[in-house]
Amino acid sequence: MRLLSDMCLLYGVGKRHKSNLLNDGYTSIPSLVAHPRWGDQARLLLNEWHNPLDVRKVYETISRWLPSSSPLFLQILGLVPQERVLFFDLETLGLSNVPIILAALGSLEQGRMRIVQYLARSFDEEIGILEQVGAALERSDLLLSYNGKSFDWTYLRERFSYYGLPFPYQPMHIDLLHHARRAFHDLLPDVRLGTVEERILAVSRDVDLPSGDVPEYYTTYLDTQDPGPLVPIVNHNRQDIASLALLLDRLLREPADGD
Amino acid sequence: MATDTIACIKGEAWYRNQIVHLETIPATDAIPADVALHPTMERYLRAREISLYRHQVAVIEALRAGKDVIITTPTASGKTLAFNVPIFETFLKNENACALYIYPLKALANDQYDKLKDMEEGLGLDLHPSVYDGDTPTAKRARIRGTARVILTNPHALHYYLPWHHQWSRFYANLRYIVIDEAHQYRGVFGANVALLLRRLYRILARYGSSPQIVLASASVANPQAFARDLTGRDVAVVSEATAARGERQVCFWDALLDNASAITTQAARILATLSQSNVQTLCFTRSRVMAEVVARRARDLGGKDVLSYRAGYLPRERREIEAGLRDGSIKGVVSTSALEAGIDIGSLDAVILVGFPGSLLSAWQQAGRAGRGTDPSLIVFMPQENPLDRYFMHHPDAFLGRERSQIVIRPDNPRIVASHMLCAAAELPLRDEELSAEEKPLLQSLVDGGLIAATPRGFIYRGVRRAHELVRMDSLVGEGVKLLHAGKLLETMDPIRARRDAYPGAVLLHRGETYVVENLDLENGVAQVRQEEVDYYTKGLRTSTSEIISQEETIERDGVTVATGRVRITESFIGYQTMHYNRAISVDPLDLPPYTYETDGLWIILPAVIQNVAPEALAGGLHGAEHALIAMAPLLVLCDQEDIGGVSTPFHQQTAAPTILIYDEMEGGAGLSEVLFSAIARLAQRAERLVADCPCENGCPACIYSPNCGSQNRPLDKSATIEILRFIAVRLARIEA
Repeated sequence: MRLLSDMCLLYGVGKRHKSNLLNDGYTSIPSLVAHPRWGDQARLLLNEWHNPLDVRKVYETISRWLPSSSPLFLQILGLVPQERVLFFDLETLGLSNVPIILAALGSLEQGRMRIVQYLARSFDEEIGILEQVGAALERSDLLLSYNGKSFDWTYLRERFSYYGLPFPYQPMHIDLLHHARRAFHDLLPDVRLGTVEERILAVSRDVDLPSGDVPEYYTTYLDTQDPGPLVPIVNHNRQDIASLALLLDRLLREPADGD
Repeated sequence: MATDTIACIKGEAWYRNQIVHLETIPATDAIPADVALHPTMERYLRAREISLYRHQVAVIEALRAGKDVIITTPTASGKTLAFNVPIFETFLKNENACALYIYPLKALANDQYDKLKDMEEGLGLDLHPSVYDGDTPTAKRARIRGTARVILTNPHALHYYLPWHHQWSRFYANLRYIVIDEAHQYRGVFGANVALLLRRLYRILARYGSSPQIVLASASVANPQAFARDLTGRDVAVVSEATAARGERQVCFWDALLDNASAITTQAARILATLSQSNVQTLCFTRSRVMAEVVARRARDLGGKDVLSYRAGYLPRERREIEAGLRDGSIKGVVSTSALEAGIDIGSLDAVILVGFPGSLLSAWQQAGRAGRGTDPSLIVFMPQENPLDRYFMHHPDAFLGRERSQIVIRPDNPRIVASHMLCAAAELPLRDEELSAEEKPLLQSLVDGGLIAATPRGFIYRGVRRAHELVRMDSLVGEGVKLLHAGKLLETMDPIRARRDAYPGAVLLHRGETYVVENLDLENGVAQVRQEEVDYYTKGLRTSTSEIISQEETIERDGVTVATGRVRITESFIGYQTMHYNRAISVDPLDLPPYTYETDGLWIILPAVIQNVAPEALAGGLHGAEHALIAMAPLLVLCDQEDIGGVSTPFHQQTAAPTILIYDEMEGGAGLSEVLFSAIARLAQRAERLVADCPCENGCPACIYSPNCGSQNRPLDKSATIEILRFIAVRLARIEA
């Protein structure tokens, strides 16, 4: 398991220790089991992870010691049953404390992605979106998003609390923005999803709606009751999720960092 | 001590008999009281040799009985200890209980933190007391929200934290006390905003199942209970009796005009230098920062020992050094603006000098209260300046010493303020119909119609595209004012009306003691560009106002004088400005600004067309002078700045068809000032009459009927007609009070 190759996951092992250990011929956590200083730590971690395999423990250990962009997070994917992985993306009326108007949820089914979108036809229906997203979270162990750690997830949590709905969800969460930044920052002027699509994934959106225009389009729809302005919003949101899957695939094929 | 000190001043070569009145306030004994305390608290107090006074015990008992309390005892009477004892006893008994301390300013929160930390450690508690405001590093925030049981903040910051309530759920669910310190600072627009902020906090707390007790600490005001109710929406118990010991105090009224060869700042510096040389630790309060610097420098030049100036703009470290120097006695004299009035812990001093009346008796006695170490005697030197209220006190020391208490008013029902807080409330939790009063419902409907609020089965929710919380500023009527920009940096934000008055193109304005000249004013985009420049002139705006009475709510009529209160519509036109050089107008420039119209609360006095001893040609000048005098005396009755009240007077008002003086709250929507003045109109007229009649000048002067805020260059004014008119009003209205 590649996860076990990073000795930094042991309490007390930093970059300096790690490079010394590599010089001494130790290459992974299992190789340290007999080490006089780190043996106890290595055995403890292996026991915690494997007895039986506890993915969340693995996730928590990585989260504690490594940056959120560490490629090891992507390895978690292999440990979670496919049907318990959820891609998600929200469209909102603003940056905080205003309604969610559209949510896209993506799930993997035999190598294909199934995208379901929930649209609020009026603000009444935001609650319905929250309930559907909540139900999907109930069925999921791992979330995948783009900038979701700082935006979508916090936003979702805030809206649940706004309506006084319980929010018991604590899925593992991989934010692909952090990974895209690590992998492509040298190649790109910025790591907005649109830029990554265009330069890395070769996805071209015909006429894309800039995220900042979503509120105005939605408000126009509400005022006129003409569903026309909803179309670009829905397309934009669907493409965001589809691109997530492409990006993930691309990242998984990146060569491992040689640090 | 004080008597020797006065003798010492009188012996100085520069003394010109400026001490015109000397009053001794006798010492008072402490009234101790007993109360059973938690054993740990008992040990803590005993170790520090603290025994409790009766008013402190009253606070402890009221809080233990579950009441909300306002405590209004004087400076240095142990207010903070009084409420901290029962609050910390709760901490000793309940390991989850939390308390929120709200201070009007960041600096005060930082200062009080040390006190709370000391008590926490002394009691062996582990509360993680923390200041949480705009300066708190992001990295520390989550930990504070997660663990702190005592949080200190300010209303500006709290406003922005409310929508993130789920991050505060532990703290809110366990919140047992809200402490609102320096509560008297929450008046006017600031007070109305804070009142509504508290209502928003309550509804969030209710969501998390808590309903904390409220503790207010305030300087003494005439109407503590009503004020506390307006601010907090609760019925509170009042503890106002002072039972701490005080030494004898001498209050010395110093008439600086009697030495016309030296400026008031020079005279203050001389006194300060003399006192500091005799080891009398002195705090001197001035009305402005520039004045503080001038007095401090002058006092040092005159041989003053260890004299420094202090102001809010100093770095925290500089301020702390001065505060510590005052406490340990190494600094003998400090000259300060009101920044050191209260809240900051500097201990007590031997003497206080007030250069100019600080605007309200409340402030004056807060400042004077800094003098008097325990039961040692102390000295207060009051040096009135040349303006009406100051001179009134010079002639009527009893009015100063009697500490006539002013009312403090806030109008939490100002529709503009209510509407903006409604938006925030709806962004924090869905707003339910039953939460709204009958007056609020139409307001909400207008927000629904305006597309800012949506009605859903779960309640009314905020749906604006901009953040609701950015539409509100705690210290102004509306979030969107005119931004004063200097080299692209924001200096301050002004209400649209203030901007027209003070930030017209060409205006010279002061900001934190620095001089700026306004280059242009773009009202459409709400921006004024200014440049920094030291100039030797200042500017005065010229404007005219017209008034229209919209509705009349109450009237009093006596022998030809009618006083009424109600809603008025004011239109201000900004016609030009004068450039002034040493009090002389050197040029007049026209202005091209759109007039500003707003509705507010007003009161008007309708007089007969003919008044005895007032010649027809003097009528306009008399009415105008009476208007100025009434406004000048208003701060005696209600806490406000003179600029908070405007006036219009005319020998023939279109609607009343008679000579009319109209005074009004100079703020859109009204601030409740006129209402208070209406209820005390007889007293106000009587004080205004004394002010003008007692002034020794011949034709009116800045100490009686001239107003620095007059938009029409103090013309016309007629002093003897003013006295006749005020007397006419006062005599007739006196019968109401009798």
